[in-house]
Amino acid sequence: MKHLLPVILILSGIVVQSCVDCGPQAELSARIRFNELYELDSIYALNAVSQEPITRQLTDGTPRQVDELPISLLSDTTTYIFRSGQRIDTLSIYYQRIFRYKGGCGFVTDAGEPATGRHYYSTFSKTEIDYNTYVRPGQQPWFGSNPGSGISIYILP
Amino acid sequence: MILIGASLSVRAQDTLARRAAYIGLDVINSLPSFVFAKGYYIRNTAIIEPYYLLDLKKPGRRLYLGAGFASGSTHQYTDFSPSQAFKGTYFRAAYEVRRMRSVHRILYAGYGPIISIAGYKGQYHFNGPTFGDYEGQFRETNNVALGFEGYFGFDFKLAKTWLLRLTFRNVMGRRTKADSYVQYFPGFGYTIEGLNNRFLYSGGLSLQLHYKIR
Repeated sequence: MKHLLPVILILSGIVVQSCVDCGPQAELSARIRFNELYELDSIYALNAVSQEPITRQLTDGTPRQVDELPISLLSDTTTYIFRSGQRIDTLSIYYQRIFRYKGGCGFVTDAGEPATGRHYYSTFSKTEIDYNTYVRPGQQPWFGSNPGSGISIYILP
Repeated sequence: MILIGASLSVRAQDTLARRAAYIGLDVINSLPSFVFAKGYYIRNTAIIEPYYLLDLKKPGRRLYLGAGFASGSTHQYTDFSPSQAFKGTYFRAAYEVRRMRSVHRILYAGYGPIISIAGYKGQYHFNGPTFGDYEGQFRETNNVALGFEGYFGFDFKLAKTWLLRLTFRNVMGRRTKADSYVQYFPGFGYTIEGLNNRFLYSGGLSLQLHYKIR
């Protein structure tokens, strides 16, 4: 019983322990959702040095779809070509790359809404793009942390 | 001409009679960065710190002036906190009080302001397996920091004209501009990763060799 107070202090210290959101600190990816059943046969990213991170997702899932599209660290726009049966679609997304220093993390990479100009170019019947930070500011709780969700794309083929 | 010069120096000696002055140089500051380049927190860093000590009128009080120049680089902390190359010039002044411990060993303590002007640069890297890697650069020039230093230490009289000074110091300060982060700020020293980027706090020790000029 004598040692209860220190134990409580240590436990509460662990519970309120928080951390900072550093984001991926690597090549970022945009989440992509197709809101109809849409089977992809192939997907191709322009100016890529390797298609592997994208095509790997196609072989794994049923239905054949992608969840995440890597975006280029070297350009403020990335273009993808989608093929489904006879149909071929193009999607270009525009963003603003952010590279900065964050205490406790070092350099971080983030992407946001472009300051001017269009947000996307798409041949799908409907496209929506939602910009969110990849590096959420402030302190994150240890349990149930809510890291930055990044760019999300919704497509109605 | 020589006569005028001689008479002036005689007069100067009259007014400052028995007030000793020393010039000195830090002798070990940059050594570990060359000898232990892998393990020490800075590497291949040239640090040159000349000093001037002047006894004040009040007994046991001294004015301490120092300048410094440092040029070198830090180690990479993490993949995203890369090595920094830095260069800086700094000046410090302090008011010092001393107490005789023995004829050969004197304890002293002092405090005073410090100003440092530094620049640093480096590169960071992000992996891009799909579209290629990104290389970023950061560079800051004429970054000014103002601070306050407190120290204590011992004077060891080696001979009549030579003095060895061992100083333990604590310094804190603030950068006027903190656009990019800094790991080592010349004149202030090592900065703890994760601490506020604008605030500088450091401690260290210095070994100086002084020569009595008056």
